[in-house]
Amino acid sequence: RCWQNRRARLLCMLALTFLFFVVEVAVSRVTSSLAMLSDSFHMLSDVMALVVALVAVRFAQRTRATKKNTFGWVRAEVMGALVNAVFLTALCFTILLEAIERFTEPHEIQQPLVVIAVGVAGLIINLLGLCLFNHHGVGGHGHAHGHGHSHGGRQQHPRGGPKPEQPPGDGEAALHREETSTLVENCSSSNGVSQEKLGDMKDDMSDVQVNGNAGHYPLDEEEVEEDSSAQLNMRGVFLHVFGDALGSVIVVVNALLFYGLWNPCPEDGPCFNPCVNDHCMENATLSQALSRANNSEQESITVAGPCWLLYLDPVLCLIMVCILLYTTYPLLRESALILLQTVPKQIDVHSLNSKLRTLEGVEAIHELHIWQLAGSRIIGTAHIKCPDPSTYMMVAKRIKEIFHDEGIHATTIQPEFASVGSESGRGKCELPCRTQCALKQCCGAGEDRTAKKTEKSSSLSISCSEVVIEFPKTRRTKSESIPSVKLEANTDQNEQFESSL
Amino acid sequence: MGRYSGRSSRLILMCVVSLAIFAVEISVAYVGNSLSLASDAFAVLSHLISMIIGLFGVRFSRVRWHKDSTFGFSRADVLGAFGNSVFATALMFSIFVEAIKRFINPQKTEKALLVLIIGVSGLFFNVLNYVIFMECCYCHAPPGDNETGDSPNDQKSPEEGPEKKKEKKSEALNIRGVLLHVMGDALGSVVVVVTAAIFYVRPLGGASCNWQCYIDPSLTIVMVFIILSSAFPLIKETSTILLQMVPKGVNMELLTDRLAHVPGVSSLHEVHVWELASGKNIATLHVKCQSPTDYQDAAYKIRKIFHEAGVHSVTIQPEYADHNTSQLLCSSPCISKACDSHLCCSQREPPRAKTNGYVEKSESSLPARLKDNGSRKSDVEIPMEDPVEEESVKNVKNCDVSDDKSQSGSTRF
Repeated sequence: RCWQNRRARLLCMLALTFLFFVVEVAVSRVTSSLAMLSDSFHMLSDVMALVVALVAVRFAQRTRATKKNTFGWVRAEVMGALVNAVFLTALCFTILLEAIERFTEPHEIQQPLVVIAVGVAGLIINLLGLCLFNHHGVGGHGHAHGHGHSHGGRQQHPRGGPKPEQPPGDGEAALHREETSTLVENCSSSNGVSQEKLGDMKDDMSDVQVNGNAGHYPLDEEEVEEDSSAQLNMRGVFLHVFGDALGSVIVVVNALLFYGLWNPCPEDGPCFNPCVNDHCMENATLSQALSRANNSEQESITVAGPCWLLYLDPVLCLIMVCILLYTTYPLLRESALILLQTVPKQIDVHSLNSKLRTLEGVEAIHELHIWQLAGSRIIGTAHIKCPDPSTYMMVAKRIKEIFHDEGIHATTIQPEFASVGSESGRGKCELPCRTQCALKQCCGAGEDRTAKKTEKSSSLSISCSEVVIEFPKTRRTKSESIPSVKLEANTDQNEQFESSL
Repeated sequence: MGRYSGRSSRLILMCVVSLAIFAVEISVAYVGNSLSLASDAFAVLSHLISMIIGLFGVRFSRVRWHKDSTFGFSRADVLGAFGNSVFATALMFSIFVEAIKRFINPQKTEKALLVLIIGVSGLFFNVLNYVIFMECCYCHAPPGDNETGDSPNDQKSPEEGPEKKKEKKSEALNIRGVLLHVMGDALGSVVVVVTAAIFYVRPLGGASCNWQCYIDPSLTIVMVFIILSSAFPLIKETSTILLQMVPKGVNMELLTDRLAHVPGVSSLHEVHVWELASGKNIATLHVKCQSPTDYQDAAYKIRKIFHEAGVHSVTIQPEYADHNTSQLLCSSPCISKACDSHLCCSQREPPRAKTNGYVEKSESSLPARLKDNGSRKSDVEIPMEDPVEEESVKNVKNCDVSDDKSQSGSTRF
């Protein structure tokens, strides 16, 4: 049961890692090995990554709107993923720095046996962590196939991770639980049932049919949805643990080779260490010169080496940094794109636009915005211009269907009626906001300039259209309506000109 | 060329200068075999990275529309600032670790004179950077593409004045992110200079470490705390925007209260207010009205209320309710119930809706009414026709009946 819960997994890993960190610090004090101390701090950074992910998961469970956040905190996981990715990049940077340091000043490993032991222990813990977070790992597929296989999806244990997290009401607040359990009484929704018990869920399957909301699909889609937004977060953690595992591998390999091949300088007796370039070098050369003078002593000089062993560590670190950066970059990109309010990649705004425009009853569309809140929650808004309210009523459902087909389920459609003059055809921002607020509108300032460029726009309102309106249609409208109606200007090309970086 | 404002060209200049400094320092460090110089070079490199992030933020955020993003990339500024501050925090963490290691294993500063010279020159360059930034980014008005100085402020109406400042403030977020790094660098140089000066004046020679060796780590820790204390507010501010939170100047309860009192509005729900980037607030809401004319009148007043609250991009979805629909719940969510999990706010949960005349707190709304979600049959605009839902909808009627009873019977708080 422990393994199904995302939070529980994070907590387990957190406890283990922190414990190991403490152990490593103690060992490094005992053996006074600086390398182990720095390795232990890598573990600490792991701990911090886990903490960030944990905080994000706890936040993201509150999907309800609150006073401070009308969307709930669903986005917290995307933020957690971004923080982890940036953190990892910074970590790579510092590892790079250390590796370069090692190049200029190579160190020998003292007491390689201890290092091997601790390295192996760390590696084991990291591998355990990798297994824990594995199916949230590098790939982005998750439970997409869970859709429609509600039973199957639920019963699969290892994939059961995110499921307990689903019901929005199942947050920490007992209040939520209370409310959702009353839901159960009234309409037998499986919402309120604690999802931690798979058995209960199976029972609720039949009841679930009662409530149209909690039918087969929504819970599955919740699985999918929770999974894909939680996935980003878990991927961040996975990458951290992966990086740590690589680090442990390097430590172990290095120590093993060192133990096997290194020929250390004995404590006593003259020793020539050609690899370490420090002030002792002069003494070493001096002693070497002295010893050469005396042939009989020459054989007793031990030469520490082979030197390339000292450079093995930095080289391996460099390779590790490259691997880490390569795997972190997609995560960084994905979470950044969501946070930038971009259109999700599976949706093509232009085709959506044309589909909407070809509906009869729809004269024009502007202010079409599509963005992804988190996971599969995609939100869209549009202003649709119709000749009159009754046409709008007829067309409204079709519009929603079109959005639904694209996967956009939360939409806000604003109808604007050209026949009603007061809205001056734009309605996007009425009189109070027309001119003064240009800069503050979501698309204000840029369009202001471009609007001036196009001949057709009147000087009054601000053109904020991203969409090309077919001119014949609008001309017809223009003749019908009051002259103050403004044509949606064809600013598309101009804006694209601006947008090409 | 509208693309290059004074700001981004200065950023580019600073990037180039930093790159040159980095190259010089790393080569001198290699030749002279000095560790501290190598680490200073890397500090410059991290500074460079942060400026590149800042530059990207500035350049991208000017894009108003792109096929990949209907909002343009105006959020790039905010994201750049966030990235920079997290990066700075991570770097501070590693510097903190180094300082702890120095405490445990104190080392003397060798070749104090050389380090002193490098430290002073590093400090000089950092101060220069800071001055360039301050001058370019806080003194003129950089309203996007305008190269001229303060003229925009004079030309537009007084209402534009505060807006210009707001735009400056929004870009300032990104610049603040870069400034964090500049400050970190400068403080680091200060620490290096102080330590080197002490070691130069009172050299330790071959003696073991005394109190002098502990100055470096302690000053470093002080520096870490200073930087962190300025990084955290920046992180808070940017995450407010990135998490789609209600912008600071907007009081949701007051706003929804006023909106609910607009004549013609029976109820509202799905009210969302968020900030795209500093100063640009966006709102969407669904209002239930009795008739289209009600809606027309109400729409104007609603916008006015939003305008006064500082929200200028508003999208209002009218829903014309029958009397037996719930006043609170959306008459037209997506076309089928199956999509509920994809809605930004699940319809299953008690909505934060307001009806005219009384406040409906989400926690206190009857849970039974939640099942009203199924009662879309009575919806005028968007009848639910999903074939899968047929049977579930029938079943839902049980809930509907109970719901109606509760609705008629309740005095609704």
